[in-house]
Amino acid sequence: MIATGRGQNLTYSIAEDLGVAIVTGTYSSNSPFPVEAELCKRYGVSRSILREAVKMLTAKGLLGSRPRRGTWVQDEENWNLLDPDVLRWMLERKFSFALLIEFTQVRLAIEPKAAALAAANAGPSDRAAIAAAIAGMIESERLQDDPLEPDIAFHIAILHASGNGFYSRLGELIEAALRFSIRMTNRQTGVRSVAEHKKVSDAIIAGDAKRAEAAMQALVEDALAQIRKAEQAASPRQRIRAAKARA
Amino acid sequence: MSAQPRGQNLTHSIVQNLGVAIVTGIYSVKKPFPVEAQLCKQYGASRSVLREAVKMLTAKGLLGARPRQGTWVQPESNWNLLDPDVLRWLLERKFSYSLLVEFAQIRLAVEPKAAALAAASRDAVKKAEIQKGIDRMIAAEQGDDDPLESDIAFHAAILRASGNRFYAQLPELISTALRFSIRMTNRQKGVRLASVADHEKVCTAIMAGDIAKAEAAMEFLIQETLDLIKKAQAAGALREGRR
Repeated sequence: MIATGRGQNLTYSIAEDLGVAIVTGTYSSNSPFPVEAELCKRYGVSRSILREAVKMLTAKGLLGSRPRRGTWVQDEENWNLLDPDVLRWMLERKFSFALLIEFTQVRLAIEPKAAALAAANAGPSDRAAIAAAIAGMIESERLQDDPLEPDIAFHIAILHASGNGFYSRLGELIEAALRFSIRMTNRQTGVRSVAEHKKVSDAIIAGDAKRAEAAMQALVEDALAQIRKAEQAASPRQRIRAAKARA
Repeated sequence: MSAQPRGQNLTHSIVQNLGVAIVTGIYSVKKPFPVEAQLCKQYGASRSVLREAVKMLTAKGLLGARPRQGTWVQPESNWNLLDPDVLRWLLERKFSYSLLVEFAQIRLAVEPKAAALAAASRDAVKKAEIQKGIDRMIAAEQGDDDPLESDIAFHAAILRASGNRFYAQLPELISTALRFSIRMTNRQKGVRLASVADHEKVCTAIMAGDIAKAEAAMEFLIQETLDLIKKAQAAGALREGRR
């Protein structure tokens, strides 16, 4: 079955289907990537549509292709982890604590600095977006609803409020990982987390860059600690599997 | 000589050509993007080659395309700055201090943390590359190596030695921006070369496994770069004002 992902079109869903197959190791040096004709038949598409999907996966570093040499799966170190699709496929389908920890380390570098910049640069619409996200988190806590969406909106709003195009651009990537990791960390921290988020937002609204940076750092460090705890709690079998995947 | 056949090269040069055209505003949100047939004719390319090029630009966030709606230029906020091609086109478009400031801000977040992770790492092979970078910088001071390439090699080696797979993917992006910013900061300082001594402090701390010192030394290095870019930006604005 072809999962109809975010992209509406056929090209994207083929890319997604093949992308997931690649990250889960369906194709490897032992089972080489299928030839074009076979894939066209499997998906019932024209060669030009299939080639577009292959080109998308090439741009994501998953495939290499060259005329007369065909198409092959690239080594994992070439996969573009900074591509939100690749990150999502890997977290959803080939989960490893190591990858999530590495990504959270990146967040720990990025998000406190973004919060500091946001305290200096946030415009009225940025502030409104941050405040709305906090209000959403408080509301979902009151209703005992899933706080995932407002929580993601909070982190994205701060990246945008930084006024730095590079931080804004990371929003999509951070969203892909947060969709995955927030559930894990919320399960463990629960209620406390809304107050911690509000500290960041208060500091940004007050224009206090130092306090915003420190509060965001505490938040992400807490998330990192939760993930490490979850890793510890994971069954030994899962840990061995993750270690093997890493090796 | 490149063994790449014509199709591959042609796709690549069409991507470059259209990418620059979009970034420089020849095509924009307001001006419609040419239809496929016109571009095929313009580049002497088949529809399949052209479609591949358009797909690559779509992946970079420059174009949007949908069947029956055609192809359009995306607003600048959608452009993927984290794509080294896009960053290079933007930097080449018009020398932009604010883009360099923004890039230095992200380096200020990432590189000190990467240096800290490298200090904690036990990967002696990857750490040795950092020392090689320093050796090359010292050689460059004597005119025996390229100062820009050796500086880039140093920063790239630290990102790779961090052991974090996300940081390990940043060298290409950082190298693209460094090519612009190093030239500028070195000019500004009145010395052609970056401060090797300051770079060496980072290296020494990493080799000694001193996490806090490695992070602080790298932060100092990038903060200095950021300050220089901001100073140049202010001086540039002053010149603009006098005109």
